Amino acid sequence: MGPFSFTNPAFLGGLAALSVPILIHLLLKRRRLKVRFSTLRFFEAADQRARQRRRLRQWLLLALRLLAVALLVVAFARPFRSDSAPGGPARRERRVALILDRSASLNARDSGGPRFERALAEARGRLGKLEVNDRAALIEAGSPARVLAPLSPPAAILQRLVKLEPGFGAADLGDALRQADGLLAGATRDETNEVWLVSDLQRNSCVSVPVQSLRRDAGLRIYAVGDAAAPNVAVTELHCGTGLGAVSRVTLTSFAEALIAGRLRVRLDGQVILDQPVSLGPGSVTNLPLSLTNVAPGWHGAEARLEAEDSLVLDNTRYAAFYATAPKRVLVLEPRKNVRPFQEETLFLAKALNPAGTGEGVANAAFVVDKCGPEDLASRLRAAGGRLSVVMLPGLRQLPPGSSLLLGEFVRHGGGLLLFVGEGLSALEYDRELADLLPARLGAVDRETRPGWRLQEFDPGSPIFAAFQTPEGGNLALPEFTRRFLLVEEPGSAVLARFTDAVPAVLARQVGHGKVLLVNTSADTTWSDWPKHRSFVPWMHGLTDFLSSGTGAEAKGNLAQAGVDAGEETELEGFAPGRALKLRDGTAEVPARADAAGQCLLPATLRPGLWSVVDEGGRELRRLAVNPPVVESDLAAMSAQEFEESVRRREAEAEAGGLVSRPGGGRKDYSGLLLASLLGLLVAELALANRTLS
Amino acid sequence: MAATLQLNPRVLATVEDLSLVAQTIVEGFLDGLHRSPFLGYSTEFSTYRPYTQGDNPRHIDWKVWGRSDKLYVKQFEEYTNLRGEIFLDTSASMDFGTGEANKFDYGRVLAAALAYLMVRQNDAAGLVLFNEKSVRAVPARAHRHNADDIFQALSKATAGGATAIDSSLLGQVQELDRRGLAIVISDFFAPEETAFDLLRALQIQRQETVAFQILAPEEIELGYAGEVLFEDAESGLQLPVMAEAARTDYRDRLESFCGRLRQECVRLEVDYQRLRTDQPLDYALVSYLEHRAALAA
Repeated sequence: MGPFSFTNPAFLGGLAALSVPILIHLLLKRRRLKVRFSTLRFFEAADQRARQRRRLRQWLLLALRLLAVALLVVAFARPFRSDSAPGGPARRERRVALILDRSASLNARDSGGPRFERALAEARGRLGKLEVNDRAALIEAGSPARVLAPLSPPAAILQRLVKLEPGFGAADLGDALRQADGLLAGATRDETNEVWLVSDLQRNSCVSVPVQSLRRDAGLRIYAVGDAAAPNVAVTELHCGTGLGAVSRVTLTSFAEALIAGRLRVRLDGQVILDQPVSLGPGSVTNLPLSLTNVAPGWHGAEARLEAEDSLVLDNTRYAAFYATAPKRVLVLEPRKNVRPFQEETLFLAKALNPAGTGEGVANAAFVVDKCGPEDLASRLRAAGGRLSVVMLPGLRQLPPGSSLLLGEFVRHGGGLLLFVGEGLSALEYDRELADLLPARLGAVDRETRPGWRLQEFDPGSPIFAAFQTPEGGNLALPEFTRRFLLVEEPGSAVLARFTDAVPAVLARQVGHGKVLLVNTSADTTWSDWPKHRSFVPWMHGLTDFLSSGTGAEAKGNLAQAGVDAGEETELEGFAPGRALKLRDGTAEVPARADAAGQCLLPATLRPGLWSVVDEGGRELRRLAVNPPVVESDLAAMSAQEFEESVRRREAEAEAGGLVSRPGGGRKDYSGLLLASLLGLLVAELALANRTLS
Repeated sequence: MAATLQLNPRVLATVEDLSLVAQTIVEGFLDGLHRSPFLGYSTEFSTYRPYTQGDNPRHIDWKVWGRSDKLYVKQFEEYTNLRGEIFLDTSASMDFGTGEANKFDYGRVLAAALAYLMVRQNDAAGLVLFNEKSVRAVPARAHRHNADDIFQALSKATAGGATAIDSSLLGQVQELDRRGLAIVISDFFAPEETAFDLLRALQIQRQETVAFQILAPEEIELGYAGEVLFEDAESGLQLPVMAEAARTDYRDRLESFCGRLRQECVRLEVDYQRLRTDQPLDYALVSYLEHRAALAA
């Protein structure tokens, strides 16, 4: 038989609980009532004996309780003895799963030097003490964890460590434990299982640890690297908004417990747009607005770099890639001549799309609005040459001659046509001239004295109502309508909104590559008060985007902000199926390929920076910002003890050749015997404690 | 015996005026002794009361019978030369007992009641207080205001010191040169049972003695739990005791002591009465009256 060993030696720390019975003993000893009594003459002889017996009983009880606690603790530690005969091979081969944390936080520099170098030195030192017959596996604690090397001779693992560098992503230590647990299955009776964890035990990496469980027969050794207090500041957000009203900002967060001063520089396409000193208080979050003006359509890259003395330099730089769309050109037909601007019928349409004015030269505008009279419509349509996205017509008393053909051609080639109705509009003329475009045939004018009709239902899936999905989007039930046309829907048209009495209010029709939208009210405030409500502007933006989506003009709204966390495999969409691609960041080039669904899988090894996705011809298809995960910036760490306590243990499953299932094999477990002894002790304690001394 | 004390001595002990307490107890007690022959007869008319069987027909007021056709007997204030000496233990051991009536207070009320009863019957009542030293607080005089002196002395008395039955106290006993009534109120927790010496000395002096042993319920039952640190009221010695374990032996020893005291009293022809402080004073007063009647006879 070999010497005694323990399956869970950490439980022996519970022997500290021996102090509890001693404390109880001392506390009870002091608690006695003091009474001034008439005479003690009737006590002495009798009580002297009782006191002696009681003192003896108390010491016996204390000894029993101490023994009980000690037995319980030792039983939990699972003592066992190997079946090996004395003089035989006492040592069992070790199977070690080495978990190495390579997350972005390992790039930190502590008082003892670079954190990852310390981690590597720790791992090498431990592996160097293994025997030749021992086996070790290497697991990288990424998100998710990866097995870098299966169970192999220690020398092979040491070799594998040579070229390792810290990564840029997050770590999931819980997943790493799960991988280690799987690797250690199937140990024989001559082998012991161990899990070595070399990590900075960053709290954000330990979130999933309590969810996983580790086999009970695997010893867990934790080698924590990194300082307990590592001051750090980081650029945690860089947002570049495009379009009118969009907000751009950079967010600085301090994870330090002291004030840290530094300097922030933000560059857009290499040009400095912000350069200022910053002072970050403990735990503070600082938002600094950015001013992006005259951003040309196309892809852009921004970089915010914070120069400060902190532990982790990696997260002091953050990148952002975004696509600035070209403004959409909208032609608005104004029928009223020689009137002041506020008397124009299309005043609200133009102001809703671009309140800064009409024509070119409006910075960051989403729409460029042009106006013309009915007589100029034909010439404008001819001259547009595909640059025009949407044409908007208020209710016209008379359609310009020849305009119906030009409008039909414009729409069929992908243009968008917005039609309002209004006072004096000839339903017969509209139905005749625009028969191929109108979503519905116009009937008689329908009038309602106040209170008028309201919008009751609208298609929530339609992009023109997308702005109203949020509570702040406005209330479409507020506008009131007093006049309208009775409509007969054309086949193939879709009613996007109806009045309270179910008469269509907004209808759409696909014509060729373009769309026609009919709004059953006037463009001004004569038939409704909708233009005066806050819901009008977002609705106008939504429907203009909707109408212009078929023009082939810039349609990359979903790509406007393009950023991913480093260390994670990410899929990009929207490429031609099977297309060969490349990822470039100026110094490196990584080959990639779009799959059959047009998705391109980005590798987890991309380092932080601005990357371009280019085709074989070198044309930039899109740009991408890769940043370290924000969670890696908070360097707050667990203690080794805290981590160990959070790991759930489970009995190893019955497995062929395993330790537990082998009948009578391997070792003799004494925990059962100890627990039985404990039960006997408790019975004795119970009897002694409840015995009344005479 | 239909006599019951209506007023609880614990309540009465809270009344500072001992004379009021004593008067209340005794009058209440005497009311309970309805038509009892214990009241004496004397030459000085006191009051009328209805005739009961056993009354001497000589005392029937025939004039009243002639007027009302009812039999009344005359009551007279009695003249007597009976001397009653009250020995009250004021040692620290008497200052025990929870609540408002500890042993000392109970003893004081009993002494006051007895003194009042004596004076009411024209007996000469005296008071001796003893602990480490004895003091004749009030000499025995057959004076109707003597009770007030006794009340004042009892009011001023405090419990303290050890119990000593020594030459000082025995000297006081030796001064009792006439046959009379001696009432000892004490717990008799004197060292080495020297309390018996007091009884012997009284018996030698031909005193009709009544020994009232006052005990508190706590010291009879020892109703404590767990470990208790007892401190001797007289010596200050401390003794840790497991109450449950020591209770039986303690009770045996206490009863043994009381038994020896009772036997000694029987041997000395002393009337022994053990009183609990949670009991009414009836037994004590009745016992006094019986002995007084015996002496009068």
